[in-house]
Amino acid sequence: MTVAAGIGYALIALGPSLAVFVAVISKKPFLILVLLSSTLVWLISLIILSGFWRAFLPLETTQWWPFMILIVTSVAFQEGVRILSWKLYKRLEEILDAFADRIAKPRLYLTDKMQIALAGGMGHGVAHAVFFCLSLLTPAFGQATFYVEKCSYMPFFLVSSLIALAFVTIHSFSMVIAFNGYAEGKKVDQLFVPIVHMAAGLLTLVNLVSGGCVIGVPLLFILATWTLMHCGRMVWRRLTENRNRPGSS
Amino acid sequence: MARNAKPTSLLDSLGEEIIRIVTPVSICMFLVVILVSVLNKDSSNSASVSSIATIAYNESSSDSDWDKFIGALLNSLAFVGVVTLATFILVLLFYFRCTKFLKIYMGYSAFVVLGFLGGEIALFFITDYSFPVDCITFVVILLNFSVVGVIAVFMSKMAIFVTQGYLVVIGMLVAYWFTLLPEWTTWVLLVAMALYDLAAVLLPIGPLRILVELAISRDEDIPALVYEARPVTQNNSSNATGVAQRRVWRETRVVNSAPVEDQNSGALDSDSVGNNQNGTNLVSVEEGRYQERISELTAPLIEQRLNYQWLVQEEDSSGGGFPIERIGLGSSGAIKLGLGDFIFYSVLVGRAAMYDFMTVYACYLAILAGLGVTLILLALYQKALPALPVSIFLGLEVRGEDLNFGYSSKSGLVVVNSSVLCKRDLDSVDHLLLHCIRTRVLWEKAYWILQANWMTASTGDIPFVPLPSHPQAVYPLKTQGTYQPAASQIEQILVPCLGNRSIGPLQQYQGYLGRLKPHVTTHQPHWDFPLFMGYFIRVFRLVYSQIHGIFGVNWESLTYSCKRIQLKSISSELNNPIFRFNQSLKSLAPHVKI
Repeated sequence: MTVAAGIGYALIALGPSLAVFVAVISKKPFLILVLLSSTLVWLISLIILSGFWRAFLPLETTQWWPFMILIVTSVAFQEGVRILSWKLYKRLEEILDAFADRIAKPRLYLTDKMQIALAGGMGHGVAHAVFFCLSLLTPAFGQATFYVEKCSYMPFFLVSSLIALAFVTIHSFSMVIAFNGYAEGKKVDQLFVPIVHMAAGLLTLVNLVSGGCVIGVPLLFILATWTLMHCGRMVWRRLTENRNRPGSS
Repeated sequence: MARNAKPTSLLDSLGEEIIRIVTPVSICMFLVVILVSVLNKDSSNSASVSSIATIAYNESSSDSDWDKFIGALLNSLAFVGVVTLATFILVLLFYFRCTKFLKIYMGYSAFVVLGFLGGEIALFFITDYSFPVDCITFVVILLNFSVVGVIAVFMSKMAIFVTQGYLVVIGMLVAYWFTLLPEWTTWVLLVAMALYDLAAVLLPIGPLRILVELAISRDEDIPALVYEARPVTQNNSSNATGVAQRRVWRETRVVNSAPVEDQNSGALDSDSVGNNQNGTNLVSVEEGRYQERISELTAPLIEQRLNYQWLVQEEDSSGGGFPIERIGLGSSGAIKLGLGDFIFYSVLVGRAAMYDFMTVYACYLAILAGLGVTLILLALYQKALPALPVSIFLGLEVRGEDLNFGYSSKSGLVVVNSSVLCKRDLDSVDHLLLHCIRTRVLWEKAYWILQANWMTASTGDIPFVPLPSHPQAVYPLKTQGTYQPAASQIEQILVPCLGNRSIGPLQQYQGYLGRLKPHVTTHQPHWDFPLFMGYFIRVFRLVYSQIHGIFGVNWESLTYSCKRIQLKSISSELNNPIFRFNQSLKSLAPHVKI
């Protein structure tokens, strides 16, 4: 439905991340680099996944359980990639701290670390939004719109933008939660992230049912809000703790 | 509170130089993608450019893959040969210190690119969007634009933002022009240039290496089109020497008069340089790029284009904080990237944009990754490095991977309007009749067998064959006005064909076609070309599929495509391309009357 609608759909999916980018990430060049590399990592993980699944696709079936297997394996793989990025991040932290010592600058602050985690998560989220929403939006710039039978309440593009928005939120903030969980060793946080990711993935299966998107999409947003709140509480707690113990991070 | 007096964190300035080079590269790629998607909207083979890059072989879509590959290979070899020759000439001129000549030539080439290429692209815009502007205004604006660009590139005293902007625009224009080359030629050319870059910079006899060593030994700047990012200034007050405004870059040789900063006490050892992988201590890189264009674009379209690039480590022997006046600002401390890299990255991404936006995105990431890897290698090896190979190979790899990405993603959706046959373009009458590479094979064979003269629009110019002597000539369109065969009359003619599925004698069908002719030349009140074409296809399907095999055409989807374009909802949109085709045809062959 014209260029305006196309841009609108793109902004629904990516607007908040654009705001965060401009306000937080673009101020520090290193965070931009982190974002770009985490996007690349996500893309590569997706390529590997698709290479693996190539033999079985396209899934001609209308059953739901092959999709479930697909989602479960993909989410498990991506959580594995997340653990790998945590390890890489530890190495990076060591290098940066050593470098900071060498040029007599302060070491990485807690906020710096959380910002790096946020940039990494946002890279994943943006990549998800681009591949699962923006790639489908090319027809939306034309003169018509498209409805899917099983979810005939909203145009297809709108539904996919909303789902992408929820996933962007989940990805961005779950990286912060995960890194903090690994740093502090808290099991709750460490397990929170994969569970939420898996739940979100499986929730999208609800959309396969006719009329399911009325249930599925709001539940997805509830998950996203929960992630956001959990992250906010955790960050608040750590920052207040940190303030009360000056000189440590 | 400690928070108020917190010194700036490490993260504030780390990686800034890389971002300052990544941003203009991204902007250039983005602009080229926009240009490609906006200007190439109506055809999948726009007017191709015949230039040095296509002297060996001009690709046409009906050749087999192997022919195209060989042709593209020949083209690329020719191109690389010309580029090598030009590089050697440049080295020779530099050796004989004809620097002034080189600078003037650089200014001249910038003028030609901005004026003529920029003018052509502006003309594309104006024709596509019917922008009302008269010749004189256009010429005046274009002239001013180009002259300011030449001054910005030529002289180093211009505001750096203007210089940077103009360099990005020059890169974008040349890259867009390269994307107009035929498909296979573009890809093979990219690979060839990457290999050439590798060879020319790393081999001892490589021209670029000689050039770089000459420049270093004479401590001169290579006159070339080079993008220079703003140098990063240290705001750190802990700089002991107080010459804090300019960052001193590390070098391999110890510079005698460079101020020793306390925190960099280990820095001037050549050993520690290699160990440091950090962006802030990156030795500034200089990639020069020289571009020479000779002629302008007219119908015969012979352009000569000579490019090369190299990546050079800049020896900063400026000492102290005294900036030496070079191209751009005092260049101690800034990363420079040659324009050739801008251009070839943008060509890769622009070509990818002709397929799918996901390919664009993936190629963009791959190129950035390649650029990052190259910069890291530069920090490690401390010598001149070619910037192209890593990025181009990663980009091609990703593009190869990505061809099915849009279709095998988790949702499994196909873009709804793409032509069912070739999946390359929107479905439209224009596309099915003229541009779709699959159906064109069909038309040519079908018309040949029925001995009707068909006028096809192949890549580039339309081979218009005036045929006053052939009464059975069937033209798809009339040159003057539009033709509207009445649907009922066509039906009358064709229903016998459609009714019985058996093949009658060939002459019968020829007769039918001949009877179509008067209907295509007279004016009728209404317009129903899609319907007409639908019938056409059905006839040919009946005739042809049972007489001769035709490969590569999926009959079901062709019929389906035709049915789709008969929908009322898109018939009005479909008229436009045909009408435009009418107009361009008219200009080409006004003397033909049917």
